[in-house]
Amino acid sequence: MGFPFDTPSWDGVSGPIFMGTGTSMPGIFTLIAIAVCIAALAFGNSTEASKYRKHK
Amino acid sequence: MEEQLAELAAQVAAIEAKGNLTNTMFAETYYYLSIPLMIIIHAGFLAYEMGASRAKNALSSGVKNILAFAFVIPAFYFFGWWVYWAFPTGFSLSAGANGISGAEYANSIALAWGPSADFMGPNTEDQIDGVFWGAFTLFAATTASIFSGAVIERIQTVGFVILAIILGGFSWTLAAAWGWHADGWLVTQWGVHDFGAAGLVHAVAAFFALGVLINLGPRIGKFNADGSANHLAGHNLPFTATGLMLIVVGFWGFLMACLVVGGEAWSWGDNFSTIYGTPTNLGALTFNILMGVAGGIIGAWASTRDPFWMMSGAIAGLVSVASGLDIYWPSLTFIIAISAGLLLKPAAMVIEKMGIDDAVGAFTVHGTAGVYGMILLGITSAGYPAALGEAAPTVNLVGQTVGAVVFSAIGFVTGYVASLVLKMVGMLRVPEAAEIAGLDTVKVPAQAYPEGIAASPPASN
Repeated sequence: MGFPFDTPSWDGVSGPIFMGTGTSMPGIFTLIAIAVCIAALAFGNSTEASKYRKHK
Repeated sequence: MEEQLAELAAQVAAIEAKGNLTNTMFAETYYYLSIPLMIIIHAGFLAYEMGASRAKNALSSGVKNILAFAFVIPAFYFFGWWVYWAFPTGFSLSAGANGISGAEYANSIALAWGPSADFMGPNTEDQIDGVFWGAFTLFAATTASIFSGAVIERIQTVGFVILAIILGGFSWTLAAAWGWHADGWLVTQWGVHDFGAAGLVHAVAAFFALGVLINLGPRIGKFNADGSANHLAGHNLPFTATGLMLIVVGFWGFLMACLVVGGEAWSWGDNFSTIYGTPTNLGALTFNILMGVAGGIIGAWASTRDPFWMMSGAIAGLVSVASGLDIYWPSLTFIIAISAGLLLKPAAMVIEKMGIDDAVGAFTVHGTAGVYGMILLGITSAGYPAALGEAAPTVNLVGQTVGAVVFSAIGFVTGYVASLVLKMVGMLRVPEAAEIAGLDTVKVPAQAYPEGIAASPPASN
C-alpha cells in the first residue's frame, strides 16, 4: 500500500495511480467490499424479520 | 527556411495535441455531467414513490428506493459492467466482429481485480472508463427505480434490494449487451434499434416488475371479493407529480449519455453518434424529447384530466419514442407520444382487471409504452440501417418485435424466478399485521409528519 512508485514524486508518473496498483490488494479490497455488502444485507434482513415478529 | 518549417510543424503538432486533449476532456466532462443529471431521476422516483404511498408507508417506500440506488452501484461495479462487455454475442461469451465483446475482452477491462483493475480505478491515461461506467451504472439504477414503485407498501426491504441488484446488475445489462452494443446479436442479426432504451431499460424493468408482482400479490384492500378494484390513493399527489417532472428532467441526462462523443479512439467518428455508430446529435434529441414529453402529457390529459396520469403521460410519451429519438420527425414523435398518453390509463385498467396491483402504473408507463414504441419504430423507420457499416441490417418490424419480446422475456423471467425463490424463503412479502399497521411504524425509526399536516391560517395584513 502507500504511494506505488519508487520515489515520492509525481514527476514522470502516468498510468494507474490508485493505492495497491500492480499488486493483489485491489482484488482483496474488492472481495472485502462484496463481503461487506452481503453482510449488510444479512444483518438488514435479520433486523427486519425481528421488527415483523414484534408486530405479529 | 528549414528551421522555420520545423518550428511551424512543432507549433501545429502542439496545437493538435492541445485540441486532442480538449476533446478528451470534453468527452470525459460530458459523461461526468450526465451522471448527476441522471441522479435527478432518482430524486424524482423518490418523491414519486413516497407521495404515491399512503402516509403510513411514506418513509418505508423512501428507504427502499434509496437502498436500491445504493446497492445497485457496487453491484454494477462488481459484476454488472463485466456482464455488459461479456455477453453481446450471446451465452457463448465469444468475441464479436468489433473486438469489444466476449469474456476475454470483459476480463481485460471490467473486473475490479487483476490487470483489468487498471481500468476500474484512478488512471492518468484513462479518462473515459470511469465516466462510461458511471453513466451505465445510473442506467442500471434507473431500472431499479422503475421497478421500485410498482411494489410499494408490501414488499420486504432486503428482498426488494436483492431483486434490484439482480435487475440492475444482470437483467437489464444482459438486454443492453444483446441490443445496445455494436456486437449485440439482436443488432447484428435482427437489426434491432433502440437508441433511447425503450425496450432494454424501460420494458425490461417493467416486465421484471410484472414477474415480481405475480408472486408478491396485491396490497391488502386493493381488490374486493368480487374482483373489483379499489383505488388506494397516495397521501401526497403534489409530491408525486413534482417527482414525475423531476424524472423528466433527469432523462435529459439519461438520453445525452446514450450518445457516443466523437473524436476519440473509442468513438465512431469525429462527431456524435448513437451507440450503434449511426449518426445523430444533441439537436436531434432536443427536437424529439421535447415533442415526446409534450405529446404524452396532452394525450393523458385528453383521456384522464388527472395530474397523476398527465405526468405519467410525460414519461410514457418519452418512452414511446425513445427507440427512435435519433431519427424521428418531431411532428411524428408528437403524434406517437399523444397516442401513448391516450393508451396509458386503459392499459393500466387491463393490468388491474387481471388482478395485478401495480401501485404506480409502472408496468403501463414503462412496459406498454416501451414495447409499443419499439414495435412502432419497426413500422415507421423500416429500412434505416440499424448500425454502422454496409453489412449492417436495416430496421424492420420483425426485428423490432423480436427485440421487444426478448427484452420483455429477460425482465419477466428473471423477475419471476428471483421473486419466487425469495417468496419460498419468506423474504418477499411483509406479514399481514405489519402491512395493516403501516411499514413506517413497524420498521422506520423516524416519522414522516411528526406534527401532522395542519393547515396554517394566512398572515393578517
